[in-house]
Amino acid sequence: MFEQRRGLVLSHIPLGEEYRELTVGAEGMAAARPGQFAGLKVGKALDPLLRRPLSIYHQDRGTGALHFLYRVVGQGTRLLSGLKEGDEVDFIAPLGRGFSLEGLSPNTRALLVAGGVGAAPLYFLAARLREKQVPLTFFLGGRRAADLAFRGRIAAALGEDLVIATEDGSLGRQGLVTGPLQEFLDEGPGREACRLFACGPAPMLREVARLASVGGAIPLQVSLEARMACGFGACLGCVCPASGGDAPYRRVCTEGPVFFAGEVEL
Amino acid sequence: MTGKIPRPDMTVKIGSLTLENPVLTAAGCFGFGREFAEFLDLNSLGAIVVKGTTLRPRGGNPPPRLGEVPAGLLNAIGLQNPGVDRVMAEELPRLKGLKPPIIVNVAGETPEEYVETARRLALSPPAAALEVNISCPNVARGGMAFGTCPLQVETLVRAVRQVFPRTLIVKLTPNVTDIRETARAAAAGGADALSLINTLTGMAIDIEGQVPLLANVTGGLSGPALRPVAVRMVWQVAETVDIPIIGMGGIASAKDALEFLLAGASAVAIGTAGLVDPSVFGRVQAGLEAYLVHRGIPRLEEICGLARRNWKRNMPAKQVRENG
Repeated sequence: MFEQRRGLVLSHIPLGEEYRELTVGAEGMAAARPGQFAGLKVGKALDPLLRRPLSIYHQDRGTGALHFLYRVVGQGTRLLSGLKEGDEVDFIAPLGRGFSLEGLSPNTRALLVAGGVGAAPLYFLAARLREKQVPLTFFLGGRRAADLAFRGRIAAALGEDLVIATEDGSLGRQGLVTGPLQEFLDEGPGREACRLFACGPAPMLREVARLASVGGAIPLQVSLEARMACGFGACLGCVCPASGGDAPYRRVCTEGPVFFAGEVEL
Repeated sequence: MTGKIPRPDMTVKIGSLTLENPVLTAAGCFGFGREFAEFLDLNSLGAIVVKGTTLRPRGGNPPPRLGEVPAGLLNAIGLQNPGVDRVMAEELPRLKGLKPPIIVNVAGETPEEYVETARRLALSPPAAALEVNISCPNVARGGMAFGTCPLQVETLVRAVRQVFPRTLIVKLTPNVTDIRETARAAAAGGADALSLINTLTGMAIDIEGQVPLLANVTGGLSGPALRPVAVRMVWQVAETVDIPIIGMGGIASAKDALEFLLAGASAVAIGTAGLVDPSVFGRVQAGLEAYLVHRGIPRLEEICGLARRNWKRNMPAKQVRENG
């Protein structure tokens, strides 16, 4: 289960202008599952008040240290980016429901589709899939090469299993990341062996869901983002519209952030 | 003289309840306790005030429901809850056997809904007390609408009073011109205690998207930004009624809690701060105790309203009349 604790910043590396990889000590903490996240307090002051939910990018097997890949977008992440090695961070982790790996085997193929920093939870997933010897292809998209300035670790780990697309063509294929995905689905091995996982902007998720559903449905899990207050299910602030079921909404923090495509309105 | 300083007596009385300490949870910020059990011993709380409960299940408002503002939070959850029958069947039984009394926050759209919800909860022994929520700013009908008219407040409280024999607390809205009027009305209707304040109505605009930040457009402001307003209202109400006050609104430390107690509250509730840092409940309790020990005050209740008494002693009578 999750817990609140303080950890030391072990490293904090800038990746291009906008991205950072933050590593925080978490010795003895429960092992996180890909897709889970942490709520980080970005400072001791009251402004900003709330924790920042960050996807877990990776967890070191031995030490439990948590890695986060994030983009500096607002006041909270800007303050976060000021943390130095040796600083203390208050965090709650591991939070949320991660990706289900059920039914994945060396005979299936995982297709991971990431938009920008949505790559973080999917990289963690890719690492676990590799350990289980599940063949995978990682589709990574951004508007321009600078949006993928963090790709070094992912490219090194995945080699030829990584397919990059940028809208302006400054890196990899030109166009939306769903373009190469569609080609793969049209030309690749049978759809029945495929399993889809996606994290990124809402239009990308909708297009992946459309591709997953036409011509023999492919199981799709999506990792969603939402504004959160608590991150552990108490405040009901982070809900997204449910698809089917009794309740009109689902909590992104605890029922997600990973959902099967049929569980939520994308 | 040497020797061990005895621990101060932290108990407080709210209606017929005796609380072991004055730190409560604020409704809507603690769910039904389930989530927080991961972080803290629920038995360490003074009382547990659970999520606003309505007669029928409510799905709540569409997202986005949250907006962060300087030292504060805007929310428009919309009283999402499973309805009183499921709360009684599934949530309250799980809380039975805990040491702190369970206080159920009750909301509705019509007086009849409040009364019926209270009538059913009267049959549920774990519901030691009700907190009648006539102050929710985020539902289209009911809620705050009842809470702003003194006559309606008195009528509603009296009606609930008739069906609920145990401790009855009324939670007031700050979205009024003079909170003393609604406080008086609630007391006249038979409330055993008052909770104040609920959130202050506010809004924020997303300047990139050029739309309101919340789907509900307006929401309730909570968090430290709210606190001076809350302390002022507790001060005013403490002078107006002689029933206990549970003070709340932006408490995030023992210092904050002390402001409320010194202004006239008998107990305090922590809401938003607990969402951010679940360890705040323990820290506030310890800080209050340390404050009393440090000053050699044997009982917490001695400091309730102390700032009022000090102020009156030091001020000319005319000024007391005008600002009291």
